[in-house]
Amino acid sequence: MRQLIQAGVLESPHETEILQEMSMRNAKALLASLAVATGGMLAAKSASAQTACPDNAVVIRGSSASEPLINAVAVLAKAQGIDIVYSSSGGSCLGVGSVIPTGTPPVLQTTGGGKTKFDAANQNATCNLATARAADIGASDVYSTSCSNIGAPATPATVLDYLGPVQAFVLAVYDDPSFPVVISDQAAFNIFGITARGGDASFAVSPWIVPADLLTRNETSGTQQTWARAAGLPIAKFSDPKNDQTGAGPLLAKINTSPRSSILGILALNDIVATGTPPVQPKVRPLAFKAKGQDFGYYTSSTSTASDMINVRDGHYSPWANIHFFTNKDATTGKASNANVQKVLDLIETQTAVTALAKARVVPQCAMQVSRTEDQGNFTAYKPAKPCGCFFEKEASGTAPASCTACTDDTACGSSGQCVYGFCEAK
Amino acid sequence: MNRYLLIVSVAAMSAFAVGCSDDNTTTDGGTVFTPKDSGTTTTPDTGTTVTDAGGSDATTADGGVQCSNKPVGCFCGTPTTQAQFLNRCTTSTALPFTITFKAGTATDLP
Repeated sequence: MRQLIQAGVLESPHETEILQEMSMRNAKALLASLAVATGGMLAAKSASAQTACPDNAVVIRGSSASEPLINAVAVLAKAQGIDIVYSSSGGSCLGVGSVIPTGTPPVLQTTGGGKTKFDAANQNATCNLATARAADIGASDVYSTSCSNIGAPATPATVLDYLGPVQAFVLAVYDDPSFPVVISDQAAFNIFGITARGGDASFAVSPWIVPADLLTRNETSGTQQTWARAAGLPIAKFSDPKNDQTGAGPLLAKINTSPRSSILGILALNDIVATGTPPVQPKVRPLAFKAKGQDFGYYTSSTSTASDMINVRDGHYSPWANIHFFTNKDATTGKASNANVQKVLDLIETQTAVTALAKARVVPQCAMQVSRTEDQGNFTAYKPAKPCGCFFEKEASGTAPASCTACTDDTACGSSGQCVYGFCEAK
Repeated sequence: MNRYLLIVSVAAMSAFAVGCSDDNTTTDGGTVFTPKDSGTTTTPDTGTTVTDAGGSDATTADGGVQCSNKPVGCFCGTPTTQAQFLNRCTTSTALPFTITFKAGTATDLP
């Protein structure tokens, strides 16, 4: 398995899980065949043959960062009679291209068209679409304009850009106590813009001085798009394609197996997950980041070990982006033109979805205190209609902050408060 | 390791002489900014003890609203500019970046 990851055959930790699952299913199929051949009465369903995706499934394609959320939403959608099929192939910009016409044809798939998110017990199996089709929803870590490299224009009036939860991006190193804990935007500029591209060695930033150890993705990756902007680099000047990894999984595995200080890679925070059976936490840790104009570096959460994501939520940690859900828009209502798609979007900030996001270290809009209107743009104060900061921290950390007051309805929260998911929040 | 600690300590002590502004201590949307703790000495993932990034232990109270005054030089008011958001007072671990190198510009890109 690890060899497959290192070789780039597996694109992500999720695919590792899929392979394990498929191996198990194949083994079950073999047992079933043997049982039939010997007159046994085993009627186990062979899952090795891909099933057909439901005809009316809502197909989502794009950013792998959205997958934990989609897993949770798919269960809720199923209860409303809506089946969700999801594929992460192509990354953020091809998620954009699934809905917005670009210079690159949208990805059309039939065989292995997507994961069966509608099946709560088997969400990572794959199914076949009856006809080749583009996605109903394109998921992306970046605005459409950030995908100009594949010809994406600004989001047209006919397309809805639904701003979903916030994904944090990190520069990650091998977890050795002697290696640095913080990096700056200017250092990232030098490292990925000059050293990684074979430039003047006098600009090197120790210990990140070995070009081949500076691990990247590709220009269609939302992770790479975000880091290029955070470092102040044009996307075309960010690193060298020969350092690109085939996905977050291979990149994570490469850091995990490279115990040297020169290794540095770009990841989404929730790419750093335990893998294998039993799951083992990788020896990979995110660095604190000091942005342009900032006096100190900060982790995504209040400390290196916390999970409150407070620095993302309040603007101390800058390399983050909303997950965008692009879909065709009804000109009259301004909502999704496909009624089932709109129902799916309406589920994104439900309590169950917030729980799933918190555990995946992704921040729902209701827990944010700042917003931005372009990738790596300036912050403005943000106050959600139904703030969920207390509930989010409880789900992320196990306990709510001491400053939070539990409630069952608005009466416990005073005239200026409201009860949201069991805690008093500001109106 | 000792050299690293020394560099961090010197940087922290000499970094800023600017005090907190206490003219307005509410965050966006009128939400009260209540720091969760006042600790500043932290142990990052590395296990390395990083020294205090500065600032006083006292909180600034203004109309019942509190500000941690940390790290040193932080902004206590309601942020309106990017620099104010990025440098708002917080009890989160604040880490000086002390690696020295020659800063590149767009003209230095190969």
